[in-house]
Amino acid sequence: MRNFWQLIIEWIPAFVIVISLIFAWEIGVWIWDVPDWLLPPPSAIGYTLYDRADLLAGHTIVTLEEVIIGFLIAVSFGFLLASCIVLSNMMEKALYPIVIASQTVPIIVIAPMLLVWIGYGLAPKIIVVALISFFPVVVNTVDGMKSVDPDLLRLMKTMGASKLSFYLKIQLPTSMPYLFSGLRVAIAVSVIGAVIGEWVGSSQGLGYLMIRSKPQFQTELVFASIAILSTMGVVLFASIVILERLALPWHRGQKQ
Amino acid sequence: MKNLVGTSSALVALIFLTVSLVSCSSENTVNRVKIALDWFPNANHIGLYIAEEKGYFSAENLNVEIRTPSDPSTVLQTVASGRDHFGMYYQPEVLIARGEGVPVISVLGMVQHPLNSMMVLESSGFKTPSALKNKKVGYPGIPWNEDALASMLQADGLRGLEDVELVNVGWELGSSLMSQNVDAIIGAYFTHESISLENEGYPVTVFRMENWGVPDYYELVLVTSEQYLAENPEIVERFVRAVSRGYQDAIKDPQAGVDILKKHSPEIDENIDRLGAALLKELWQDEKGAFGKQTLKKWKNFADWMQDKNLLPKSVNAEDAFTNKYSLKE
Repeated sequence: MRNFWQLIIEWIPAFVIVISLIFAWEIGVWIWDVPDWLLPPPSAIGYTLYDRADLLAGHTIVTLEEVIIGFLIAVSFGFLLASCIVLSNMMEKALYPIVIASQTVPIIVIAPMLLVWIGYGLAPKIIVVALISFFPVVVNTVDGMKSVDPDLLRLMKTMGASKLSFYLKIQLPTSMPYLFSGLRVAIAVSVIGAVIGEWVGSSQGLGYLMIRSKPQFQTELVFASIAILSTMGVVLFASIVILERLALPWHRGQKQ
Repeated sequence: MKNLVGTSSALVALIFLTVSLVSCSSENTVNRVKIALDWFPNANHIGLYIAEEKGYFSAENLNVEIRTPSDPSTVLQTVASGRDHFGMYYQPEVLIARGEGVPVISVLGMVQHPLNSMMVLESSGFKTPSALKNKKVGYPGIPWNEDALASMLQADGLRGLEDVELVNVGWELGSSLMSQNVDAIIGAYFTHESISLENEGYPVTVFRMENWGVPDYYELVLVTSEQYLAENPEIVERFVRAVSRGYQDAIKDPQAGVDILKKHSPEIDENIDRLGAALLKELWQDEKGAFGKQTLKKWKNFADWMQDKNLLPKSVNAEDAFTNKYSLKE
């Protein structure tokens, strides 16, 4: 229980800043008489969230689905790739440059092409999410696995351990905290990935709702979608943090 | 000695600067004007580049900056908020904007008819819109395009959208048709996309909206904000005059206009824009051969159709959305 209060106190400054910014925004819009189509006040956005809840909920579920499926693919694929890179020198030489090069491909250009190649539906959006979020997973996991003390490797070799058992007994557990920091970055960019995927052609999702509302000058709906996306990002991020605390209790102890 | 030359030339420069500053503040002020295009420079814009190249803008003491927006869907907002003074945009969107309280007004009807049309591959053998029953139609996700499609299908005896599968393909209209992910597209220009498809080896059949149940409208109009118009009517008048002269030249010799466009935007595809300009020549003129005129009938018919489809609040008055006051008299 003490922990809980500590947590609340830690969050107070951020909370105060967010609330005052929202107030400043509301008052600013009111003082300068800014029209809704240019910048709607937070109250109008709040009302839209309430008034169009059904519409927004339907699109939110679609986007969430893309984020989670894409993220899970990125995590499994990224972890597998990282293990290959660590286990074999040849794999490292063959794969690592490609992994890095994959991040230099502008997703915004590839996304519309995916539509033409694969067709219209969830698949191209999930691929965009996976493409964008597997990189932090791979890089962090590889770093983690390689951060093992080389003396330990030499010691285990002398004692006759195989490369595989070294990987399973030492490298894998050591890399866990690194993997989780990769996951935190990955989940945050996943949400962006889903919106990019929807932006270029879709019939559902918050990205679609935004690109459709914008030319209709329904700016409140655009901001309401942004608010939901941010909340989604924060909640998913927090879930990863909680998962990390549950999965790696020893790590948290070490940090403190 | 060297020093002396330096000092005297600095002095001369200073005098020049003073003289030019003084002359600037006298009556012949040059006004800076920004215009946002609806899209990347193409055959639709050659009148503007002609006016720039032949000095029609400078003859009106205008210093014009022609700007390609990074996001074309924001043109009416940047115009209404004063970031841009003018914009080229679509009549239906001007009406929708006014319905949402965005204070923009059309001062020139630039393209007299819809360019936005439906296209199918010639190889499909589809001869009329009703051939699309139970087929996939790609569109750019713009809501009123759905209703335009519905009207076209109904005009040919189908029930409407329930008879087709609508797919939002974003701006991949051409490629989605070529790859046959869809059987037809709506939202592409018959002065641009159809030509580029043909050049790629995929000739298409075009169904023009106004021939299939959608009221005729102005594909492109020149817009400004109500506030800018109220505060600077004489700049609007000069700008509209210069633009009109540019387009009158374009009507006389579209290909010379494409040469000028090419000079300003070397990245254009001449193989598309030469043919596009040849088609646009007719579309820049009304029945009497005049450029820029708008009629209440066309504005009203389209607004009525939109209100009928619930695309536009009843409060929007078509009369207030445009003015002919500044277009050339002859």
